[in-house]
Amino acid sequence: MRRLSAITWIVAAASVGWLVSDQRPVLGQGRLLQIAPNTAATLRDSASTVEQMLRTGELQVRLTRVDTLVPGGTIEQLDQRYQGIRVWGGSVSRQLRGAETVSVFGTMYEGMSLGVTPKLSADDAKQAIERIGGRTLGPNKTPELVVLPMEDGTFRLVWVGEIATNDDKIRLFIDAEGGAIVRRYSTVHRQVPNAPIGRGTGVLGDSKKLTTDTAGGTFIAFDLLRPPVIATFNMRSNLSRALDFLNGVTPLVTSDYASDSDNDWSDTAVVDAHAHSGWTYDYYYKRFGRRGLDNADKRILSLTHLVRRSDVYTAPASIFFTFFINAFYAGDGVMVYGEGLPPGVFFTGDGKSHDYYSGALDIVAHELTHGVTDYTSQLEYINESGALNESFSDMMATGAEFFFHPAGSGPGKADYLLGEDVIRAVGAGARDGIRSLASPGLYDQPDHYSNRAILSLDQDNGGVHVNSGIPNNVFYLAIEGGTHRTSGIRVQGVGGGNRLQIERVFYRAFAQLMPSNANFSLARVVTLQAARDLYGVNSGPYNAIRDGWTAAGVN
Amino acid sequence: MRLSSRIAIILGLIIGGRAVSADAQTLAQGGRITLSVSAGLQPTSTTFSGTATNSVYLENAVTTTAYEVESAPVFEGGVAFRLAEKFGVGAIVSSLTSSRDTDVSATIPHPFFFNSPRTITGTAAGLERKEVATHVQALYALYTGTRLDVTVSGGPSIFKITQDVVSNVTFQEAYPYDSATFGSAVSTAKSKTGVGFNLGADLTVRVARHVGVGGLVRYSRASVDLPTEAASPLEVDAGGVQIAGGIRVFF
Repeated sequence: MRRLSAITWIVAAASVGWLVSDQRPVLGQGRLLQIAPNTAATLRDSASTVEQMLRTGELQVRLTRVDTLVPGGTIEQLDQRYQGIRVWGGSVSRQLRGAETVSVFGTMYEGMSLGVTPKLSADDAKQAIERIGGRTLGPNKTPELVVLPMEDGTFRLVWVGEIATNDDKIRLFIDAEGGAIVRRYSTVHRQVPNAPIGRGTGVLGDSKKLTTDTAGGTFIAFDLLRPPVIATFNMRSNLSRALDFLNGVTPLVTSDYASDSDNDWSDTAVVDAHAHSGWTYDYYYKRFGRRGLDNADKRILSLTHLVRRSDVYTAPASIFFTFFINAFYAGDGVMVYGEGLPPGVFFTGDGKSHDYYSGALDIVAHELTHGVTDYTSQLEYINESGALNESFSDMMATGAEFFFHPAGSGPGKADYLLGEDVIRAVGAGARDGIRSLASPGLYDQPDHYSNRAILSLDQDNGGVHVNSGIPNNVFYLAIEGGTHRTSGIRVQGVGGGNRLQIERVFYRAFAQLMPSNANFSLARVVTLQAARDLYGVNSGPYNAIRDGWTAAGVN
Repeated sequence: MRLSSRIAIILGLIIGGRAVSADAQTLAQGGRITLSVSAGLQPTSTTFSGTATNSVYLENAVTTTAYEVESAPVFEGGVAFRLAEKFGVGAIVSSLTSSRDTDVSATIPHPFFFNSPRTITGTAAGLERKEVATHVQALYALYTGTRLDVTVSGGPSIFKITQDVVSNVTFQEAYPYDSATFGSAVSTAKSKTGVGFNLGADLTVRVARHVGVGGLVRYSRASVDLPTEAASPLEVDAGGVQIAGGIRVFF
């Protein structure tokens, strides 16, 4: 019966238009289902299914909390259960207003077929954990029996427990059949009041604080004060080693950390990579209460100096465009920052000088937001969903810039340009930065749906960096207001002093409500739903966003 | 002299015992030496503020303490010598101890950002103030009767001031560190000696040949700069109006 209801859900999803997608290739027997009903009818169905699964025990309420963003609302976190055993990572989030279900989102596993009677007892598992940790666990520290989805799509019955050691706290998954360690990782959320604080000079020559640690008699770029691991590495121009790390061949070791002997840092690329990563984490936390990329304090590792600037003259184009004048999110919390060009040198292709890419807060926030998207909507990186993916990164990048920098123009100022702090116009006709949310047309981007670029997938994945200008401009107009350059429609923005409202709406839409294959039209619906959730129909933010989309020709 | 020696020893024991000191000075008729022991009150309170600066997260954490020395009991003892019919000299040692909870505020730098301090407030419990003053006095008998003497006095005073000075605070903080909470005040006793002045009057009623009772009123004042960890010392005023009464013994 239990499997049947899960299958019924999938079938229902297919028939009524739920957004259900595989998170990974189907290997073995398991599948991860993403649940995001996008119509009133499917929402009713999903609400009904959740109720049914709560009754059958396939879902169990883990947490009920007051919705801090929407008065009168509650949000429930429900855990998936398989024959009464919790499925690790299987969960549903249900937004309620009174008895009414407002939204349901979740990731659940189906296709499980395994026995739930462990050969290893809880006491045996506890002893195994104690042996590994070298410490004794108290009587209340009993391991929990769970079903653990594996990377290959199979499922294992495991005992999960935690143990604190002298320098860490480890979560261990012990195979309930044979006692092997199936998975382990640190769960330490570091809070060290006396952590060393360094002083650093950034790419723009500004002085800023750095949260560091000590190792081997020197200071390293390892943040001891923020909850996640935030570390910055100096690859010392060893691109081969960096690639080996990115490919999982070689781990990074202590000597790879960016370091400084007196905690007064002068490596500007390192200083800004480290500081701006922390600031981006802060922005998401303070603005939206989000704890990092995955909302669970996913690590942020920054790689700097993968190449040597002086090698730019001989670098192949692929290296040049990837590791000199570029920055990218490499997945799994890893950021790679371009080295830029030597002082006084500019790229004739765009007529611009390129400094260390980590020097621009908006570039760092943009790339890390791709990580947020990876852990939330997973907007497919092609065509319109890909343009939305890019646009969300631009929006959050701009939001972070306004959060930390004073408004204005020029280096170190908050504006609606992207990358302008490190990408500077030199040649005739060139413009600072690479995109403008205020004036996409100045950077060869459309601002109206009728002018969208229709490209093949081998052309910028269908124009993800081109058509992002359309939602970017909606975001801008919703805040600042003004007359749309193409349609001539006037939009009443909420004003720069209320930018928080628009940022919250777009964050809620893109990081909480958006399905992975959304197009611009659906993005309009979802952002208006988010505006309705937060501020109500016909509120200032709601109207500004509605009018912005309309002005951009997205209906 | 034997008797006076005994009395002096007794008074010495009393005075040396601890906070006693004594006195109101009088030039008693018929005696050359007067010993006095008094207890009373310094009714005035004194307020002053001080700051301490410590380096936290590459910036200065500034702690500001609003000190207040409240009305407190005073004990004193002294001796006076008559040099002429109406003139004499004397010395008094007086002691005052006060203890009070004091408001403390501090600005604590942010660990992530320059120029983004957090303000915390709290209380420093039981900050103690001790004043031990030696008043050297010239005495003038304003009125001398069969049972009543009125004497005025004045002269320099040497104050030793010991004050618990807040030098730092402890605080708790957690991510995102935009606020901090007061933990406790760290204080250390600082001492300094300074010179001031005293002016006073004493009224003594003789109740026996060698014994009288008296009352006094005195104003004394001195300012000292207590050394602190801050760049500038803490300027502290000592003394004030004192009202006391006690026993006089004449020889």
